[in-house]
Order: sequence, then C-alpha cells, then structure tokens
Amino acid sequence: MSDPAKESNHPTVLLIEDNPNNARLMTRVLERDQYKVLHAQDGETGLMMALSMNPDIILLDLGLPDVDGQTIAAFLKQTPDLPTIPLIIVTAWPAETAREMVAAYGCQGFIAKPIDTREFSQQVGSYLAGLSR
Amino acid sequence: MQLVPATNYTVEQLTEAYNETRIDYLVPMPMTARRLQEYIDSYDVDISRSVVALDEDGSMLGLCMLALREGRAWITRLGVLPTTRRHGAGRAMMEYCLEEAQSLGISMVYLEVIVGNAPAHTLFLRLGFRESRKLLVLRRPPGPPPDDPIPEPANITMLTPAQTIDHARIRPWRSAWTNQVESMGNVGNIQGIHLAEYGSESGGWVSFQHSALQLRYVMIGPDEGTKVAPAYNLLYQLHSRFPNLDTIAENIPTHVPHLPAFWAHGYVQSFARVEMELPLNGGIT
Repeated sequence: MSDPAKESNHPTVLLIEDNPNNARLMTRVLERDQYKVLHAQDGETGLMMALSMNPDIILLDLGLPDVDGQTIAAFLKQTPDLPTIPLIIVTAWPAETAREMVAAYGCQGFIAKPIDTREFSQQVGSYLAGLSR
Repeated sequence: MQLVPATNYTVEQLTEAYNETRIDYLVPMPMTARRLQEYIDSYDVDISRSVVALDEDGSMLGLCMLALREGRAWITRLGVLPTTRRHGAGRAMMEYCLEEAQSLGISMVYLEVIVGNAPAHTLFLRLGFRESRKLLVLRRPPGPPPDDPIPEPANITMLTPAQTIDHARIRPWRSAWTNQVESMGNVGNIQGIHLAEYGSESGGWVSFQHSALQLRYVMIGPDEGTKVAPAYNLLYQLHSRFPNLDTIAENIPTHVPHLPAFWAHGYVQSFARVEMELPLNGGIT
C-alpha cells in the first residue's frame, strides 16, 4: 500500500510539540521550505504517528504533557526499524543539558528554542542529510 | 486583582491555566488534566486551600497550590501568565497560601524552585524562605547495568509496597515532599528490592514504580545500622530486571552518600531544584 506521506519527494517531518504557537511557527517555516509536516501535540500521539507514518525525521520537544520527551526517545530508539530515523530534540533547556540528553538517549542532535526562523529549515535539512551528527 | 479558592475551577481549567503559566519556563513540564489530578492526589494538595488569581475581568492570571501533611505544608505549581508577571500576583497568591498554613497551625512550609529561576527564588527569599538543600532530578535511558564491577554476592528479597514503605520510614534524612512515605502510600504500587551483601554486611533497599515505559520513584535507603546503602548493587539488581525502561529518580538530595552509584549506572542530571523552607507558628528549622 502506498504511503501518502511519501507520495511527494518532500521529506516528511514528524513534529512532536505540545505548544500550539511553537508548532504553528515550526510548521509554517518547514512547509515554506517544501517539507511535509505531521504534527503530534502529545507524546502518545507522537509515538503512534512515528510507528505508523514512517517519517524521515522526528523533531521532539522534551516537555510534553503526558509522556516526556526522554521517555519517547527511549522508546523510539528501542523500536525495530525506527532507530535509523534521525531524532532531534527541540528544547529551551540550556545547551549543556540538551547535549547530555542527546548523548544519553542516542538522539542525533538538538535545536534550541526559540527557533531561528532563518536557520530552522537548514538545521533540519542538515540532520536529515547526516551532516550535523 | 482578586484571589479565589481553586475549588471554583475544574481540574481541566486549572490544568489549562497551569500550562499557560509555564509556557516560557526553563523546564516547562506541562501536564494533562489526568496527570494534574494524580499530582493533587499523590502529594496531598488541598484544592480548597489553594488559590487562583484573577484580573478585573475575571480572567485567570495564575495559580498556587498548597499541600498539607501533619504539621507541615508544601507550596507547589505557583505560576503567573507570562504577560501579567511583575504585578504582584505571585506574591499575593504566596501570601494567601502562607496565611492558610499559618491559620492551620502548620510549623514548617516547604517549596522547591528550579535552579536558574531567579525571579521566583528572589520572591521566596523576600517572603522569608531560606534554602535548605539542593535536589537533583536524574534520568537514565534504558539499558542493562554495567558489566564492571560485578556486585558483591547478596541475599536479595523483593518487597511489597507496604514493606517498601516500612523501610522508607527509617531513612536517616528528611525526604523531599514528593518522596515522603505519604506520597509513596498515595501513589500506590511502589515496590522495592532489599539486599544484604554477604561480605560487607551492609544492607539497604531501592524503591520503584514501573509502567510500560518508565521506572519512577527510584529511591535508595540504608538499613538501620548500615551507614551507606549498597546502592551500586541495588541499582544493578533493579536495572537487570528492567533493562528496557527509561528511569526517573526525582528530588534526590545532593548530600546523600550513595549519589555516586547513580552516576556509575549511567544516570544523568536533568535539572536541579533548590528546596526552601519557612518556619511558621514557632517552628524550628
């Protein structure tokens, strides 16, 4: 069966972010730059979408209302087939803490909040291409 | 500005307000209504003594919760909407909760503030709170315990929730509010592992609550007569049994002697809190 998210050549980003303003901004920036964006506003929905929608990259907020980002990352990294999908933390935490979480949870990197709208798509693209690992 | 009891609102409304107040926090920690209700139940939050601040139009500006246990109180979830800060709402809600505690004969009020939250820390100091200690929030991603060193041979026993609470009662330090035996009883299903090493004769316990994805309420304590719990061994046993679960150890005081065992097992510091206390009604720190 064809995967609707893959029908175009545009990379699919799964954005797991509970803050609607942040999600709206990130989606707008990414869509402007030809990404297809899937949005989950809590951890449980994010897990289900990661398992069913086959995204090319996952952007993960750490502070989620139901299951926090670290636990989502831990689960995704243990799920067969998913560990190869780049998992990027998007967080307002201090850079040093974010780096520690990236290393501990096997993520590919982090993007600081608030996002820089001029750089955001390029940052995502670099992680997608494996250039920022 | 007007202050009204939090009972005027549903848990859903309080959750929405709480999440709005935390939106720009260093560590936002948003909640669902279900999680806030669990928090209220687990930590003995008294909603009838908790408060909501309103503006002149009746819109919520913020909230502050008061939890009560025998002779002591805990202030938690204080938050003010980002756009309405620095107008006295936080201070007014704190004073409301302190007056409630005072009227109930409470002798000590505790709270925690995340390291780096300077405005809240300054407010608490101005209200008379003094720092008591630092608490760490630790995380450990899934994985088996380290191969080296292999822990000492030991007599290992699984503890029921009731037995775990009995062990926790005799901790030689005061636990943070979220880890006190009342919390353990309210949360329910916190089990434990007890261990006595044959060689060193040191004994201790580790508590935990496991769900499909997480181990939580990981706390360690020594047996009576043991100075330092065999924490490396206890965590070895715990993570051997649950290698696939993400782990949270919350509010671990930095002065506990077994702290290095957490680092040896791959725990990392997520963030830190400062615990503060304020004696009331002649209470002594």
